[in-house]
Formats: sequence, C-alpha cells, structure tokens
Amino acid sequence: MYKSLFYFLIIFLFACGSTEKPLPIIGHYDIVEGDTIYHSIPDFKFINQDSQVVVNNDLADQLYVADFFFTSCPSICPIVKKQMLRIYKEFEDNDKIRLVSHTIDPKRDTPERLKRYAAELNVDTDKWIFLTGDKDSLLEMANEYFVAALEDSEAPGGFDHSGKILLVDTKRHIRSFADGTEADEVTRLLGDINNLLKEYENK
Amino acid sequence: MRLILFLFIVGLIQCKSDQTNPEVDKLYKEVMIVHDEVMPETATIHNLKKSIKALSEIDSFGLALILELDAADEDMMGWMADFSKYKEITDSSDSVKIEYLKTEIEKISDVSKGMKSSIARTKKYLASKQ
Repeated sequence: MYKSLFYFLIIFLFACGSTEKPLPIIGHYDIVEGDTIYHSIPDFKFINQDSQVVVNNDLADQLYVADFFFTSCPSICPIVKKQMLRIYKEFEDNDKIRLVSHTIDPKRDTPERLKRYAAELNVDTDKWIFLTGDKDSLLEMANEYFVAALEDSEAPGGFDHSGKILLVDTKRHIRSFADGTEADEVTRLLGDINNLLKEYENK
Repeated sequence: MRLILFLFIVGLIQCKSDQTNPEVDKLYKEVMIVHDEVMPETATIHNLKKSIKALSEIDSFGLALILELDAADEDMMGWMADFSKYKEITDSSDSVKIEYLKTEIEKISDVSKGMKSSIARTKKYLASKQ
C-alpha cells in the first residue's frame, strides 16, 4: 500500500514539474490598445573582440546571458567572471545560448585587449563575445539592462558595481537575472536558463 | 632528505604568511573601502551628464561641468587600471607593498574627492536651472 502511494507521489511530483510556469518577463510594461508591451533591450551597435560590428540581430536566434565589466576592475568583476565561466562551462556544448560581456571602460578595453582577455580565460569567442564601443552608449545600455532588474529588486548601487548577470530571450526580453557575486543565485539562474531552453524546445 | 622536506614546508608557510601580513591586508582593505564607496558614483556621473545635455540650452558652465565630470570619471577608471598592476608586486617584500598601498590610499582618496566635488557642483548647477 505504502509502496504504491510512494510511486503515486513520485509520478505526481514529476507531473507537477512538467507543468512549470514559464519564466516571467522582467521590467516595466505598458498596455497599448489591449496589447502588452514589455521592456526590451533597445537597438545597439557595438564592436567585438575582433573589431566586427555586432547588432541585436546578430544575437536574435539564441538566448544570451549578459553582463557588464571591465578588465581592470579590482573588486567585483573577478568574482562575477568566475560565475560567468561557470555558466560558459555548463552550456559550452549547447549552441542555443551565448554569453555577452560588455566593457564599460572602452578607453582601455580595446578589441585587442578584449581578445587577449578572452584568450586568458581560454574561451571560444563565438560562444562568449566581448563588446566595446562608445562609452556613453555602453553605459546607457547598462542602464537599459539594469533598470529592469532594479525595478524588480530595488537593489541599491550603481550599474558597474551591481555585478548582475542577466538572461535575455530571442525577443530581447529579460527573463531572469542573478547577482553575479552570489554563487547560489547563479545556481538558480542556471536552472532558469535550463527552463527557458526547455520552453523554446517545446515551441 | 627529511631536512629538505622540513625546510621546504617552512618555506611554504613563510610564503603563505607573507601574503597575509596583517598590515598589508589592512591597507589593502582601506584602499578598497575608499574605492567601493565612490565607485557607484560613476553611474551618478553618467546620469548627471545626461541631465546637463537634456537642458534646453547648455551654457559654458554646463559644458565645463561635463568636461569636469568626464575627467573625474576618467581619474577613477585610470586609477583602477593602475592599481590592477598591484598584482605584479605580490612577490615583493611587505615593506614595498606597504609603501605602495599607502600611496594608493592617497591617490584613491584624491579621486574620491574629485568625483564628489564635481557631482556636488553639477547638482547645484542643475538645481539653479530649474
């Protein structure tokens, strides 16, 4: 009797798991003529570690995980970098997701320097791209990413010290984020990435 | 043979204690405290610049403040780039590191002052324009 109850419970749990709610879309939204307009990442144009231009469309067919950093950052970035590497390793063989790191110090973080940084990390820059460009545009872009996260968590502090890692879907919507200095939060983010990947598989 | 092993281990412990000299540790933390306190203000600088640029007419004061804010921001970014060279002297003696860190506390304190004063001046300027 107990045994069958136990099996029932297991099946019940699995059934629950498969009806998991989709990840929310993070940030403010407007309702225009009955349609909901969600916060989305605006147009951008930056250059990567190989001095090639990168725009939104270059990322459109995959999910991506974004962060903001700079190579000479002394305190937060090295910790966040470890967590980005963790995400990289977890999804190294999955071509449905990429990583995008934006520098906020373009004066020093030239494409050449970013390329060297990637080489030191020993990562494939098709998978993990590094972006630089006009400083004000990069900072504005950081605001666009973090404004959504901040509304959600009311976290204090400026963008360069927030160390946030954000998950963006193919429609430019932010679907999850984590504090990149907290390993536990990134563990949760890894779960969210897997859920979002599943959501896309089921479509 | 045992003696060599013993000396090796003593050497290792010495190396280790070298890295965690309390005076070096304390000074390093002091540098980081000054840095961490003012670093988020680079976001403030960016937003203040945007506010000046959003004014219907930017006078010479406004233009000068934009340059001042840019310079203060660049001082911070430049200081961090310089300070990242600290790891190159991690093998040096404690006295070298202590000297270095003491100079860095002064430098980052100056950067902090510069950022705070340009922010304060810009806020005052923007308030006068309202």
